[in-house]
Amino acid sequence: MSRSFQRRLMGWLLHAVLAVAAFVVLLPLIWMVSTSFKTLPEIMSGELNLIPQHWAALENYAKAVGTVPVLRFMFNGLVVSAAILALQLLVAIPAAYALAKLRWRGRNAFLATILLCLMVPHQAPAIPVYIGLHTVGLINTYTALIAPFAFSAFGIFLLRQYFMTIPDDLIHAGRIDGMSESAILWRVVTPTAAPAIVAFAVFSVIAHWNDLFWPLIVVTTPELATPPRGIVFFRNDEFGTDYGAMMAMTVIVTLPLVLLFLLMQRRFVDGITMSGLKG
Amino acid sequence: MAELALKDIHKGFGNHAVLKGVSLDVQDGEFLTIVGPSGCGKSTLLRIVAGLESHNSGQVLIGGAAVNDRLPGERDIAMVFQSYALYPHLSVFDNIAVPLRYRRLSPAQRVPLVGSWLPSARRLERDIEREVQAVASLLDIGHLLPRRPSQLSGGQRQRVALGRAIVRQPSLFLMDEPLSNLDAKLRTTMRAELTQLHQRIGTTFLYVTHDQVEAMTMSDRVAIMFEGRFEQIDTPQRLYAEPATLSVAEFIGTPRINRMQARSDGRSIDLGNGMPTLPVAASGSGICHVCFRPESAGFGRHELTWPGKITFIEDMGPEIFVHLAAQGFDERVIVRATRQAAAQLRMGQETPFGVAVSDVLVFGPDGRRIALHRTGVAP
Repeated sequence: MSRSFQRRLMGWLLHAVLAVAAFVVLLPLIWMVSTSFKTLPEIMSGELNLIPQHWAALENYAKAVGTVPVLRFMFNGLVVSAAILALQLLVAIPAAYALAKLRWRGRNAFLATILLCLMVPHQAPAIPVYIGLHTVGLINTYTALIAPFAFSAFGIFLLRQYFMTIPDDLIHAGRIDGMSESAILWRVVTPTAAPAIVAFAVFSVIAHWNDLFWPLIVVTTPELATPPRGIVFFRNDEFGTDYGAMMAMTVIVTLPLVLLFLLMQRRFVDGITMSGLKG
Repeated sequence: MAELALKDIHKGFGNHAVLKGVSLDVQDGEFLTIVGPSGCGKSTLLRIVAGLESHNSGQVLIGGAAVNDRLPGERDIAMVFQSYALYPHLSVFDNIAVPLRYRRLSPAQRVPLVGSWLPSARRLERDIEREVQAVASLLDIGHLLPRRPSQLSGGQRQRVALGRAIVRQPSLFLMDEPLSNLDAKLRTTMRAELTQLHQRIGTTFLYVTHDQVEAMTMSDRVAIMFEGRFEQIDTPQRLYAEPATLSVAEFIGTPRINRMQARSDGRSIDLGNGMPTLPVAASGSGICHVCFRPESAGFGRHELTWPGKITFIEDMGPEIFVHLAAQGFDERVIVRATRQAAAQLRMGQETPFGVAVSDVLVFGPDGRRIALHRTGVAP
């Protein structure tokens, strides 16, 4: 066997393994799309057809958009994700700057606290936060969906790691050029850290768009439901067991994220490598 | 334009003292270079002058006014960094315009897009543009103005950093090893350009480097710093010819100065080996250092002559340095030879070499320079 043939064979084998892995990961998504095109009897028939034998795409999608306020859910998802991201950045950028570039008493203790927060799953304080929100009468509001996530330990840590790599000279140059600390922060450090900020934004938006746990706890009206919460609402009420329409709705809700991921794929990977954290 | 005065600056990090009482007067329009090995505290001192670093005690005066409590942006200084520190997200034009914008425009006028519609913002922006263009043409970077720093070569970035510093016409320039990141050839041209720039704009320059060639070729005066103290502050010529201490004599000059130890009884120095004794003005008795430069020495008989054995001949092109092993010297002796003289020399050859007494520098047991009594050298 020649060298080049061996190498090619290795290449094929490697791709075969990756293809199998990709297929396993993608199968549920492919099945979701496939189901959204099928009629209910075919879904229930027990036959496994990737390509539907009776197309019901139009009916399913019409039902998803027509009978269910799916656009409303998506609007809610957008408002909640965007507001969470904006608040997280508003907190994380100055905090990360202070941790990375300023010298002050208690800095290491603060950093340790951030790392500690990073290790607490957000489900753990769910009950106390719920009770708190209930006490001040904020259940079933946008605030309840947004406020608990304004502080992101992950965001602060990721940006802090990136800010550490920004040379001190750049900040010194800003000071000598007459910038205030806030001008340095927002006009020099933030644009320089754009890759890290975008990476974090992708993480944050995906996490909160997809989040079901928290909306399930604090939202009981369809008007405020985020996409996954909306799907849960209508699983029983409207569709009963109309899986075709439900899958159509899921496809619609997932589409923006898929597009976002495709656009920002590189940044997403950067984000994982940058923070030295896996996911 | 302004003079700079440092009065007894102390700085320490924890228990480690970085600057141990540093005083310096830089005259208006002077080009003064602080040179020293890495870690001697020279960059820290520059940062203290800039206000980027705090100090424990002492005073910084710019133009006669104490600036200890002023922020870096209020000290009327500009700084060029070793890394250039250009704003990576801004064009070359915007990089140079930054110091002007942050001084002349109000915060509202600096708001992107909206700001330029505010009263007088447009006139101010026009002035800024004119000044940036003037600086760009002075530095020959007019064609680079729309580019980003990442699209520039090292030399071009260097010029942009200079442009950002001079555009505001500050009273004092601080330069922190601005040429260290350039290749050797570019460094030579930039040295000449910086000197010309200094002559043209006539502002006070405080320049920090570890490169003695930069210090010697560019400066009006050089301050040599070792371990947080100034060892000597003088013109380059005097530093070379009349070093105040052994450390200065060894730091300045390439190749290094030759050095041998000899015993002094307080009145004269005994070189041993039947050599004449050197009468000295005054010194403590003990081990002294007798030094001379490679270019002062020669082969054959001199007032002071030693036997030596050639170990290495270093042909640099324009000049040839001959390394010799000789008894009594701390390291190999280096003698500069003419091409003619070197033609007769071979590796391993034994040859006498020597130096005139007037070319000898003597340093006492404390490392300070000792004057020689020229008269009365025994034959």
